[in-house]
Amino acid sequence: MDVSAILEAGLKANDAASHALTLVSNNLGHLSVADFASDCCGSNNYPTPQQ
Amino acid sequence: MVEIFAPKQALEAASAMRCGHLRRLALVLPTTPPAQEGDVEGWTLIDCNGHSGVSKATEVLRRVGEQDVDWIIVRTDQLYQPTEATVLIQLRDRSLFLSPVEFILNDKYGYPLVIWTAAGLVTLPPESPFKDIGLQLVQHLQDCSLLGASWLERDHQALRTPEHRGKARNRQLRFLRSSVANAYRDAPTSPLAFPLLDRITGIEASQVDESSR
Repeated sequence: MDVSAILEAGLKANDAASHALTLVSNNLGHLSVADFASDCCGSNNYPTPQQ
Repeated sequence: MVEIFAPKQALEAASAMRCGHLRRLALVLPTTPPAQEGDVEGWTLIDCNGHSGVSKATEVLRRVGEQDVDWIIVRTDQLYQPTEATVLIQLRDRSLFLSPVEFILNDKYGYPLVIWTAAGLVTLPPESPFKDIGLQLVQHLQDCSLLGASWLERDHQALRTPEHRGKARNRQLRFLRSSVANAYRDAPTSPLAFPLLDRITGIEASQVDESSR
């Protein structure tokens, strides 16, 4: 089994998924990587999606 | 006080190797202020996305595949995000995620790894055992902390731990659940909402199963 090839494929897939999330987020306008990364739930103060 | 091998010395030594017999190599260096680092001209830099003058790991690997790059500096200490650090290393007392880039460069593409440590440079020949690479990278990260305030990525290293990722994952799932609930608040019985919420519940349950193993 070529482990390094699998690792490289995984890295590229992660990169593509991250890029796709950014594109979707930009289009939706309310879900962003920054939203996901922030500690928005610590105070139970969830961002409200746009209608 | 033990003298620490300075990253600048490491860069100078590795640059001298470029003039020697090595055709290509990957140098693992800590992130320090540019004034303390030395001249990186002629090197291709891999670190986290968004910095100017550097490249994402996947971009560099693409260029490596095209034999377009020979001299690479890897900022291992900047590759801590879940999308970048995907290899879980289990040590005796803890676990942490490392980037696979160094493993790939060494094993698949035949780059010797030259890794900075406080005691000096460690060189691993192409196709070194993964265990050796992992242990040297862990040593590298441990030694980075000896640089004190000069180590600019110190505060981000917690993101390598499974504990931190577990908390972040739970936070994201709560956010997602809240977003779905908000999106369907005017139609809470919508047949579209339940499958989404069920799916989130399923993911949460699978995470609990995984963490209890």
